[in-house]
Amino acid sequence: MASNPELERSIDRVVSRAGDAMVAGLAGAGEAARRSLDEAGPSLEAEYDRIISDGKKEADKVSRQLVGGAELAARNRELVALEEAVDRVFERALEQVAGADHSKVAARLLEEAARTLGTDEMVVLTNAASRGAVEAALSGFKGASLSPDAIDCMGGVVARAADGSMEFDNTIDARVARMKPLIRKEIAAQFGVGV
Amino acid sequence: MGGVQYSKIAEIKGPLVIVDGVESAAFDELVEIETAEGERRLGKVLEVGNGKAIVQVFEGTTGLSISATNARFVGKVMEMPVSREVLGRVFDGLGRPKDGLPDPIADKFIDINGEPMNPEQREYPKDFIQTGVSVIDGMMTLVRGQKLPIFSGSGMSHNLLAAQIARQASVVGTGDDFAVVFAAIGVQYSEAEYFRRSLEESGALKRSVLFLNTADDPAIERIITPRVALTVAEYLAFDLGMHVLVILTDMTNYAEALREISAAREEVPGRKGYPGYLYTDLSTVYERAGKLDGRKGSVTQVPILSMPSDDITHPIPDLTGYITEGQVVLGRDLFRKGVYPPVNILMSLSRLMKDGIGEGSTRGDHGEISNQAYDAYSRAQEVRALAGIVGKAGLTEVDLKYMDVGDAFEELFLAQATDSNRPIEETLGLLWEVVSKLPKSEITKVKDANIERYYK
Amino acid sequence: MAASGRIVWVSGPAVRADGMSDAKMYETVTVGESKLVGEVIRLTGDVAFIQVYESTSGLRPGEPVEGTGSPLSVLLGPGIIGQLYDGIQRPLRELSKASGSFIGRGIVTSPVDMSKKYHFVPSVSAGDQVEAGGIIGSVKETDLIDHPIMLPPDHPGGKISGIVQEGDYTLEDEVAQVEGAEPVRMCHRWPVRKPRPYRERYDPTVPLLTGQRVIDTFFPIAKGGTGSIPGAFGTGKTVTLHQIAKWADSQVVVYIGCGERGNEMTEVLVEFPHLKDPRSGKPLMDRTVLVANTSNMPVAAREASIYTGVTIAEYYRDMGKDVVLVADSTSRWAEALREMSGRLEEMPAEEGYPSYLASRLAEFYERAGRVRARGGPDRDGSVTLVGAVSPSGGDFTEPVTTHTMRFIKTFWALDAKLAYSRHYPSINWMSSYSGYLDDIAQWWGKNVGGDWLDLRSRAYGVLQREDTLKEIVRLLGPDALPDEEKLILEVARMVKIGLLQQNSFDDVDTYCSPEKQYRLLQLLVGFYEKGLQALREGAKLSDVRELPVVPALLKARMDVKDDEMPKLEGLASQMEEQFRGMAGTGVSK
Repeated sequence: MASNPELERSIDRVVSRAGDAMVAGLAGAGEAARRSLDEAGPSLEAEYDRIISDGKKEADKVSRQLVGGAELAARNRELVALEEAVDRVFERALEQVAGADHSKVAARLLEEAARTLGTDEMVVLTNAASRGAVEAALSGFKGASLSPDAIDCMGGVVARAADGSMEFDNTIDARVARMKPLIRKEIAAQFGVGV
Repeated sequence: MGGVQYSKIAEIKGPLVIVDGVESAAFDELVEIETAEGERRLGKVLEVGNGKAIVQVFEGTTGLSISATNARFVGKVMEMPVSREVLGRVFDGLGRPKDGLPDPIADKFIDINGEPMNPEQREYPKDFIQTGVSVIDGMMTLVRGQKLPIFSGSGMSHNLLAAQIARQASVVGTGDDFAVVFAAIGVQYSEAEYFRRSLEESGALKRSVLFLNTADDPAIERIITPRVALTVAEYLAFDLGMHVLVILTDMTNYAEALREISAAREEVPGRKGYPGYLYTDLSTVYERAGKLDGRKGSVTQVPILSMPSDDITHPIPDLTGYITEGQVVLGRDLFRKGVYPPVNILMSLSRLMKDGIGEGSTRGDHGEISNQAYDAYSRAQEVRALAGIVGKAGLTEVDLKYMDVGDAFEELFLAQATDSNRPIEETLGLLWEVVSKLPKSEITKVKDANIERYYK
Repeated sequence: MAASGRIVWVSGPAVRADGMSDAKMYETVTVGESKLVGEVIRLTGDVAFIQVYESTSGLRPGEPVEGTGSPLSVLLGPGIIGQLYDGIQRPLRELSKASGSFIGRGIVTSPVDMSKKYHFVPSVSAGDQVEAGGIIGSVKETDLIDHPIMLPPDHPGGKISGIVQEGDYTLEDEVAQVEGAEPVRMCHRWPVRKPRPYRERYDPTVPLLTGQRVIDTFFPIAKGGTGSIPGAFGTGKTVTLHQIAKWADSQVVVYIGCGERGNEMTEVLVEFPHLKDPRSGKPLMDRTVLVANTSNMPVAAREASIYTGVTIAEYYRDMGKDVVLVADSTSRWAEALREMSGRLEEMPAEEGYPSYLASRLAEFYERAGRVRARGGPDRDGSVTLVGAVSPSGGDFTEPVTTHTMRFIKTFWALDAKLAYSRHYPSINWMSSYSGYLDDIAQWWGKNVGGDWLDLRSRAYGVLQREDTLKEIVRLLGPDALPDEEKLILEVARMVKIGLLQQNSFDDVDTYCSPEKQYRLLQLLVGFYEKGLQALREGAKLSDVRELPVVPALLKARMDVKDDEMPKLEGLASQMEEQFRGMAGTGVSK
């Protein structure tokens, strides 16, 4: 390709201008880079501090959470253990109650049931063991009759109004269930809790 | 004498079961409703007489039938078993364990309705509580035994704020004698969970009692939730001597449950369909805050309620405001601007602030600088409105200063991170920084000596 | 024979009992095994409808109801002052001895200490004729209260056949015998729903001075008058009422907390014993009676508390004393009426309130008045009634506010906007009014300043003009106004800051004597007139506005004590001089 001095000069000129611009641009970039590096110093430090302080906060939080959580978990295990102990005592006590003869109290429980219902017109249910005692006591209640079906309970009676509209459960089981929160408290007190 | 079970159901409507042939039942008596499937639900007697008892069923009447429902009258009013061991526990909205642990072994069984405090036996509340939230400590100070609600609107950051107060107030509290009772009333599970986690992270969970009735729990139960929570709070405060902070959220759901029952009873409604006795009923919740002569503890209440359509004249915020000792009102504008906490100080107020601040509790200049800041911010709002009409160019130099104060107040003082816990000294310092943007001649509510000392 | 029946129905505070054919309307009854106090409010056949003043929780059909044979009454005698009663006059201090920090049920106590000895000085002798209401002697009740012992209003009167000598007696002791009548003790009972009789009623012409400038100067109330103070929550209603109770120039104050906050009553109990009456220097508690039925106490007793309070007020009136009764809030009382009416299944009127709401309010406010008491010696007393109203949503068109406005003559409208800008007391000067201005102008003219009414109307005129000008400013900006009108804005601002606003927590500002009120009014009106003149003579508005005396005028309410009136005269001459100084620049005379 033949040389074209005019073209060469033009190219030179363009190249050198671009070179200048490039050099200037590079120099500017260097300056900018230096400046932003300079600036970055303190802001990096601030960022570092922030990260550290956030980290510390987070660590505090986690440690509070862990300590608090552990304490709570320990306490909760204690509660469960206590409940198990109480339940065991309760069951043991129930076994004793169940084994006893409740025919003596049947009359009193029957009388209480009639008073609560406010009527003699009732059908009375009881378990096999108390049947005799209840039958004997029933003579005092004119409108009452004994149901032929025996119910499964530790003792006592269920009294049902003749029209079926109301019922009062006065079995030993129901009475124990009604008393259970108070009994639990008593038992727990034996373990030295809540006193 | 209770325990009788009745099976003649006359009517079931809404949350009510009407039992027929009732020989003996007491007003307010607890009732166990047994469904055909043997499921047990709780209720209480709203009205009794002439052989009928109207029973409100907390867990709803869905699935109950006329023929196969039994109602057992328990023979006592509803009671909550309480003991020190309720701390760290989670209960449902009726006060039954929800954390898989056994029933608390009761030290006492307490009637959840409480009894009114004898005003003669109250001790006037005046002990400053540092919440670490500048706008509250500085402008609407909370004191022990106060009831100070947060009036919010749907979607605003009331839960963040309440949780921050609960966390930070408990940190500053004198250790062991501080407790938090939290009652979720018909809020979303995520909101309740946020609270629980927030207390857990601050290590305060073991000093907290949670009662959770979430949005998917029975609505009528919400009548009971604040009452069991406050029963526990009163026990912790007045029997065990703790300073108890009670958070009730959201009281709007409570009032709606009340409205539902009232409608089912076909009572003559008051405003917006709420029953005429809404005020009295709310007061039996809110008035269970305070201090008592000769007893160590206190019950402080921060109820949260969302104002339907942000309307402060709606019966729920309106009647609440008449009972509580001030209100913290969140502003939609600030919330939209992204300011947290978005407290509209002009509509907010703590009635007991004057007695809880000053020399000996916070600082001698507290009342004055807070008045001055209030005044300046109120003026700034006027100037902003005026600028909207005449443009900034139409403002005087002093007006422009006030605009600066308004901006500084929101940016420096009001805005705060949810984990930033500012001591009262810092809060007051920030107030002075804001107010010092005004020339001294504009500072008319502060004594000269205090200007000398604190003006920046 | 007293009625004796059984409960057949219970719903909240409402109970129905049968077997009650012997019961009388408004008879007091005991309800249930625990003997709760109730009142018969309707009789149908042998069924009595009873409102119960204590919580009915746990009450069941079948429990007994016993009539007492007498209507709901209060016990009137020395020992009432300084007490805190519940709605049916049970002393809360005594209740706490029985039931601790919380209010128990079915507790019976005596409203006053029956065993305390008072030093009785007789003022009549055997042989004197006395009539109902006549004074037979007196005791000292507190340092502030001489308590004349009167024959009960329903006593037949007659000739004194015996009277004890001066000495110490209890309320149980008989102190006088009247021929053919029951012996007289130092106390008697009176039914609360029956106004106590008097001999003659006067027009109210004497102002009740409260030391609150916006009240005394702009919207005054007369002794024996009626006033109402409605306001949304947060408008400072309670503070304003407390201010009236503290500073009103009456001898006795009855403060009824009806369905309001518990801590507010506690605040009065804590604060009043330490505050000194500005006239006597004695503790304010020595002239105050509190009746508290807070919002969470049983709702029916709220209804009774208003009557209990006003009957006590009338009793002290009959001794020839000026009594102020403050009822906070009558809205809660109206709500109690509404609740009972609902349970009675009556046909409701507006917003569910019973149709007799208006007549009940009228009856209550009618018990105000300045009267000549019955019996000798001749004496005048007054009961001034101030009722707070808590309109729902701050809406003054609701039934309790609108009905109340028909029966009262002074209306202090609290304004939430003023309260939000911390202008206290937030009494709105445009919507408030007083019907007593002309009646009491003479008193001010005679005792304080002859031109009082004129000054007051000129100052009020400025406020009225400002109200219209404000609209223009809101639309066009302040520059649209000529200087004379800008001066009105400026003076209105000064009247608001220097006169209408009052800081109840500032030791000096909390109470303002009539003389000081008059002088401040004179100064501000004077400033307006001199300023106007200066403008007309060519002065610039900014010169008037920036006169050195202006800040002193604004702060005088706090800087000048009641006994430093010469200081205000000094301010007046400074102002005069400064305006004259303008004349030196060739613009004023």
